[in-house]
Amino acid sequence: MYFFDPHVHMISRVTDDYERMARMGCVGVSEPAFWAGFDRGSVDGFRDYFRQLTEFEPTRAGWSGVQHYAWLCINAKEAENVELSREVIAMIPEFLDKPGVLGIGEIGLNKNTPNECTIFREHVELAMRTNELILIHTPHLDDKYKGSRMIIDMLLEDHRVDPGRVLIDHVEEHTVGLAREEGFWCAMTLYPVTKCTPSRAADIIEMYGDERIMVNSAGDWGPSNPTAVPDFIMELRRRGQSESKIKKIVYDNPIEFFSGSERFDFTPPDVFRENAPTGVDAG
Amino acid sequence: MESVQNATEVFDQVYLDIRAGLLVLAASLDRVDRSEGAEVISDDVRRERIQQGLEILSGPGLNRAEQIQVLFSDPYRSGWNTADANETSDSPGDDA
Ligand SMILES: [Zn+2]
Repeated sequence: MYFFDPHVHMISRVTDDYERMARMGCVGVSEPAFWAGFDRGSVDGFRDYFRQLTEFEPTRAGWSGVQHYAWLCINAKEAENVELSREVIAMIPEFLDKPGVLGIGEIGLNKNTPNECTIFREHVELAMRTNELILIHTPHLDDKYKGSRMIIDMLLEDHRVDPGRVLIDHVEEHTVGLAREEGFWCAMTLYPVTKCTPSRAADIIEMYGDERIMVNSAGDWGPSNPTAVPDFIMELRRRGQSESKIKKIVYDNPIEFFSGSERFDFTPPDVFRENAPTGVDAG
Repeated sequence: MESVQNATEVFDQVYLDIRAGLLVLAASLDRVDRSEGAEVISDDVRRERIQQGLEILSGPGLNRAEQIQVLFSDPYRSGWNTADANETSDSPGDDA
């Protein structure tokens, strides 16, 4: 079955991961900007990061026949540095006409602090001014419920925000209902220990339905699994769900949401593979 | 997406997982309790939360997972972002 991984930090993964994902049916990935494991020191550090996300990663993904899309922002951890965050937000528009940029993300909260709220609102302002989709990171563990409520409160403050153009990520049993009540898209992250397992994600789909929802691996530089979406597909097959219902969650829904961006130029896999470029030696 | 399996089919699939999960819980709690200074843990708020979680597990209901998530969540105060809320708080949205 073809699938999208709508949230995976491929910059932290090796080319072999693209290859393995492609073998399992991955035809597209979307990669939000995130924390590199250390706080970057300057706006130029982010400029180079955004170049990598929008120039080299699509090329590298293409070697395996995977189409690559990106989201741009300064993440919530680094938002504690308000001055640098404002410089990054002012620089983002340089990249908003690059092919494959889907919008602003992953913005959100980490420790639910006032500075994080300030920078979250300024990212939303940028997205409204430039008519971009938004992808939202919600905090983990004990911070998640409160942080998700606060994020939704801030989104509802701004009457320009259309919930159909916002994806709230890392939802779990206690936050999925909050996102869906207000009409937002949402996604579940299949991640060891701190987020959802494939079987709990399948339970949530059974309880809340398959509209405006998707699953991702959020694969990154920590312990994570970039082939978690196929694990979810297998879980639903074990439960006797039809292929068309599974495809809706792992392929049709991401495409429907991403189509809200005019730069989502997706070529169905059969056509794309005929024109796939070949790889080069990294040396 | 409705479940297409009946309860017997589901239970057959999850029985060994549940059994294994109970053993992980039991062995982990035993490991804490047989370690030196175990009595200190009885005052640890995290141990109290685990106990409350076990009570949720043994009760009835269709949303035990959601209840356990809420149990392990920081409190939230609605209206934190309105004009009369304390804007200078280090922790907006806290139920303090
Ligand atoms: Zn992420």
